[in-house]
Amino acid sequence: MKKARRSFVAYAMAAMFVLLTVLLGTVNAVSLTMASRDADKVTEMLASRNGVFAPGAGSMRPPGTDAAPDSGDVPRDFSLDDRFGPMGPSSPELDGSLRYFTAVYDGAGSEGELVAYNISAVSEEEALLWGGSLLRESTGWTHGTYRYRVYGSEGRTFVTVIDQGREMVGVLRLLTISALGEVLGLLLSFLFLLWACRRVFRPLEAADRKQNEFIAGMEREFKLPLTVIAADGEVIEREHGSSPQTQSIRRQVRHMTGLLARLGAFAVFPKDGDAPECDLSAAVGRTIEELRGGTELEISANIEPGVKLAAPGQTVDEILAELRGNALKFATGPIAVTLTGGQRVKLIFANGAKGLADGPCDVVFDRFATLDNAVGGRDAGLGLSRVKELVRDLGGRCSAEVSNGVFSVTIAF
Amino acid sequence: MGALVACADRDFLAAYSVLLSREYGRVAAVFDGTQIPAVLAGGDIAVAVVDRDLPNVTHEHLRELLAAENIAALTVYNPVSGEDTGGEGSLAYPFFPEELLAALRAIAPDAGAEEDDA
Repeated sequence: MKKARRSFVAYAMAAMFVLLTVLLGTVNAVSLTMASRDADKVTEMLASRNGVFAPGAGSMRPPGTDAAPDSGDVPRDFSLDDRFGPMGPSSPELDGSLRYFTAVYDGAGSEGELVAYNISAVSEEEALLWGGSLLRESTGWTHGTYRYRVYGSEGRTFVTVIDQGREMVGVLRLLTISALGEVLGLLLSFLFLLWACRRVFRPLEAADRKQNEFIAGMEREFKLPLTVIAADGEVIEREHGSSPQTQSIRRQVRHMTGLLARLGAFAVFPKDGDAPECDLSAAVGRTIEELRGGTELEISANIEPGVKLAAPGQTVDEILAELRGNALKFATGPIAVTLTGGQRVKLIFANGAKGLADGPCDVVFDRFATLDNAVGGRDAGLGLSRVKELVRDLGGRCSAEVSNGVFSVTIAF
Repeated sequence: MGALVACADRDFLAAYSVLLSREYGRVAAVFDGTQIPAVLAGGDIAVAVVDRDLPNVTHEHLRELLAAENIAALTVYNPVSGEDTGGEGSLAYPFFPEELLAALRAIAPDAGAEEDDA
């Protein structure tokens, strides 16, 4: 349950992170795109006028002079309604407030002169150099919050650079607040998840514990009666001689004892601690020998030597015993065991099986589940589910499939 | 030399009374810890099979009583899954009769009754 709780928190935090990043990222991307588009409207407007506002308009200062602009009739490009509201690209106030310069260069790009200069951050010489560095571009952002456009007219190249610093303050502020908000949001989410987890998992943990206690209790309740049945069978045998019935009693008691042992194993809580290393190649080799002693079917083994696994030997033996038992019970054709090491240890138990449809059959790992070839048999359907639990506890994965009449179980660590 | 079987389950007592009588002759069967002193007073007990959960007596006290009478004792118990075994001189449920007899012979090899010739 601790693992499940940690996984739940990890997945929930990952989902929060992805959602917040996508959402806030989209908002900021849209904000930046809109700011870029607004800036482009201004540079387009200037480009349509060869880089200057209407002559004499607003407070634009011709380059190199202190002359005040002509305050006579200024041709209005905007309707009355556009005069008011937020100062955007179409605002009539723009021509007085926009900080920008436009430089024009000859065909070779060597000679440049300023046709508009309304900016304080750079000198005229710096402006010419700046424009010259952008001659091969078309449009974009330069030096952070400056938007530029390069365009041609009458064989000459114009470069207009406008200062969008004030407009970008809002965008950058939004970006900063988004980033801080995301960090704060994730932290608060994490704290909330830690608090909520206890409440969410408490009933699940209680149910899990009750299930284990039920299994353990049932296991205890069965053991003494089985002992008595075995003893009574022995008494009958001694008094009246052995018979098929007394032998049947013995077999049934053995079968029930094995079943109880498996059920009891489900109720064991996995213990924390370092797992010793196990020689998996040797363990699989022993299993092959036991297989050969239990069947006349052809058995082939392809075991890579020296494969080790960080797992208790008892657990590995239990897994191999279940796989061996499964093969001995249900194999109708040759049995093949393959073990490969390397970065990913893989163990495959394959055996011929009649009457099974091709395809994946991971259902065999469900408790009490059996395939068609086991219907009507004595198998309780617990062996492979036990294998899956043990493999999962060791950090591995199980899969099963049928292909061309061969049933195979693959375990990967 | 006789045997003692102590377990709350009457069916267990009935079955093992018969089985152990063939090995040890007289078998005393008790289902409650309060019956133990009377049985021990009768003497002639060589081995004892005692359930760890016998009511009205703690298992440790019972083992002490049996040790004081030089009676070899085998504890039978219901194991808790995943925990350690009961240790030497113990046998976990479920078991077959031959397993119990083998365990008794291991703790008291000289205690068996002589077999009658057929």
